Amino acid sequence: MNILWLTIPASLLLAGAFVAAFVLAVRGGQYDDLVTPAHRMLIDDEPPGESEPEPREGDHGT
Amino acid sequence: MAFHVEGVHCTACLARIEGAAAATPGVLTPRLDMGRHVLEFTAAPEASLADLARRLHAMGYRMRPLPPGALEGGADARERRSMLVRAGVAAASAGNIMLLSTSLYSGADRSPVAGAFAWLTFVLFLPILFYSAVPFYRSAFGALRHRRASIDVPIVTALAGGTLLGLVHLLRGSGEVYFDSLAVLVALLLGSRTWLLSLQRRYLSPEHLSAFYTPSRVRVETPDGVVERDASQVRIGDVVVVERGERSGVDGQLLEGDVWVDASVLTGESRPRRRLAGQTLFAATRVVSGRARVRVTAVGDATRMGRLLAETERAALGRSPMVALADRAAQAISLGILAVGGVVALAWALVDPGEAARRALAVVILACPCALALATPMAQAMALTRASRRGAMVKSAEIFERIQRVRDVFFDKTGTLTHGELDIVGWWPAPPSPTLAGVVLALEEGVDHPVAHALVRALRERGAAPSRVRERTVVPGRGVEGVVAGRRWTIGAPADPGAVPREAFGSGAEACTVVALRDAEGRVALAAALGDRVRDDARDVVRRLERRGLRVHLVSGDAPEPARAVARAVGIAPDRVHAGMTPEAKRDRVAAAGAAMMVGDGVNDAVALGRAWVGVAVHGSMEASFRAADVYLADGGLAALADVVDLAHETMTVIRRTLKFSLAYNTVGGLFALAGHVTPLVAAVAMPASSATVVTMAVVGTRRWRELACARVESPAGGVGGGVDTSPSPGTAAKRVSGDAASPDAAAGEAGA
Repeated sequence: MNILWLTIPASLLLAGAFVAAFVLAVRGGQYDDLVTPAHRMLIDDEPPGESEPEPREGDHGT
Repeated sequence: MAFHVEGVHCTACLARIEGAAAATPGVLTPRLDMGRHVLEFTAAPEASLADLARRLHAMGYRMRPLPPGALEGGADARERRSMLVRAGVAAASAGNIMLLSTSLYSGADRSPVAGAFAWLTFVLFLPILFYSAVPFYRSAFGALRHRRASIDVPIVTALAGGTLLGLVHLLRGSGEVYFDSLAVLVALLLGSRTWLLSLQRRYLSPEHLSAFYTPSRVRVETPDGVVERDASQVRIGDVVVVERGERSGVDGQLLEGDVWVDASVLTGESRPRRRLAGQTLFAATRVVSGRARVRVTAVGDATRMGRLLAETERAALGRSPMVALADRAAQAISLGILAVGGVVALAWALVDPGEAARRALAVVILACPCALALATPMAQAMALTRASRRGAMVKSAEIFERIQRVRDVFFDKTGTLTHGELDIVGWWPAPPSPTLAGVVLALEEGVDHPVAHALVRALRERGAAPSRVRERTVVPGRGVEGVVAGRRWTIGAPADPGAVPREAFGSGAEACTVVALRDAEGRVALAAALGDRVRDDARDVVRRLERRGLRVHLVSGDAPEPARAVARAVGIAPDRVHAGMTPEAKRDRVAAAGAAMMVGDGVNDAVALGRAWVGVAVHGSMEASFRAADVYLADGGLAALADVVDLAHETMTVIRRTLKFSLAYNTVGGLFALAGHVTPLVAAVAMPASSATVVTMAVVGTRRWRELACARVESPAGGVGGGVDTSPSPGTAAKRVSGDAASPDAAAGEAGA
């Protein structure tokens, strides 16, 4: 059972890392809009070529 | 910058709105949030918001400014994010505590690591206690300070009691530790509240109402000719030009001209009125024919419109708050718990003082109405989603409870029960023959008069083509005459009112204007009744509301005769028709009715909307009504209103049901705790079991509750928009969906082209 003294702190550290990642994601605005991305993937990309406007920077998040 | 966009409902909307925004010069990186209906973009200096608004309007969408808190990085966004982090931290802690507790329940408590495990659950509970649960403390203390009832008070009591008891047992090294149950409780409550928060529509806030009223540009006459200026730069005494189809941005005195003005927004009158030089043109009224030159007498907040807005803001913000059912129930439950807990503590103190505190705390924890605290926001969040799927935006979940108590419903007439535009109500004989339609079209095409606009629009929609006309002359105030195919025709009011039977036009046409096409001998060949058309679903909605036992009234600024005619057409009793009401009179009438719902669209309704127990604004409402309202019917038509009322009743049924369950559960739990039978394992199983039960109850609900989960099936006429148009240029209006082809806005655009 001695291994528990190692595995349980390790699992808690891992959990802490996930919580930190979650906090960063929320602060970065990734959870602000949970509806639109599901629809946005249905929109066709602009065909590349002659009338291509400037790339849509907005597609990389705010 | 960020704006609320009205009318977003599908992927195609997303593509079109973002596409149109990206195509507008100066608008960079547009992003639409479909959940909140908010379009965000970066604006370059050369960006023209009016241009963007025009482009969106042309596709059937409407842009509205957001209140300050709702902007990116604003108070609302920060609150949502922080709630989400609190819920996430609570969930992570609760999950890990559960892992450790499970092993304790299944036998680890006899092993040497048991003590360490128990302490570890306490350490993991600390972030919940000192971070995640903070909103509960704030709300509970706020409630206590103001001596209000709140469901958070018993929750905080249970949290504090459980922590205290757990800590005592931890230090003693024996006895139950409740951290797992408490952690899961906090995580579930935060989860459901975060969900509810993300659905509340904050842009229906009446704060800073007058700041939203910005009649974008005004045309001012200067020595260098007519220039467009921002309305805020106009001075009293300036001369301003208002073209046909535009709304005036100022109050002013007409200098010249003979114009027809649609003042329905301000007064509720259905028919355009003729205004001559010397008379006043009010801000926000629309010139429907002619071109107005006015000398400015008032701008901004000093206009009649501005004064009404200020009054609306005061009314809407000064409304009395309501204590929600769940909070009132929580108060009763808490008092009961405290009483029982006190009695238990006293009784046990005589036998065993140590055991007394323990049992009293166990009662407090077990009797916490947690199921209710969880089920209420769940049911409300589901109701908000369902309402929005049915085409209604509801400002906050509290509104459902208000709606459920409504006894009287007041409808505005113009623009609410009706479309708010002069339209053809009926033909005689019907339908008009192609030849006669061609004659009318030939005579009226290009004539600048509200009746002519309506006739041309209606005939064009029927696909009529104009015949060739000679010697056409317009006699102001009388009509038009001309020669078509060798015969002389006249259009105007029928010389003999009896020549056309009123009954021929069907019901609802009693209060209409009748125009007739006469031949050279004065015989009536064709007649049309013109009026403000009643919305197709109005009658049905009135019937559904009355079936609920609500008293339906009509309040209108219009004359008694048209008001009664509309009331008859939609089935409102004549003794519940209140005509000739000023905005202030409407407000007083609605306020006097107590639990009353007001449904309206114009600025003349806004004050009443703000003051009413529940305010409902309809599709196409003016900004002021939109902000003052609690519910906004985003789709054309009124059907969503009856759905929202149904939804409110069903939501309250579901909440009441979970309340009863919660009471029964707490009583049983409390009795077990009193008897000392509650082991940590029982608590750990019983708590999630009750949560699962109430969540299931909220999801399953009633049969009608499930029916309302489906989107409303749109009838072909369902998309017909109506009411008031504030766009800078209705001439560019096009169709959003095919059903909108009959929309007055779109049709007006065609007629004006």
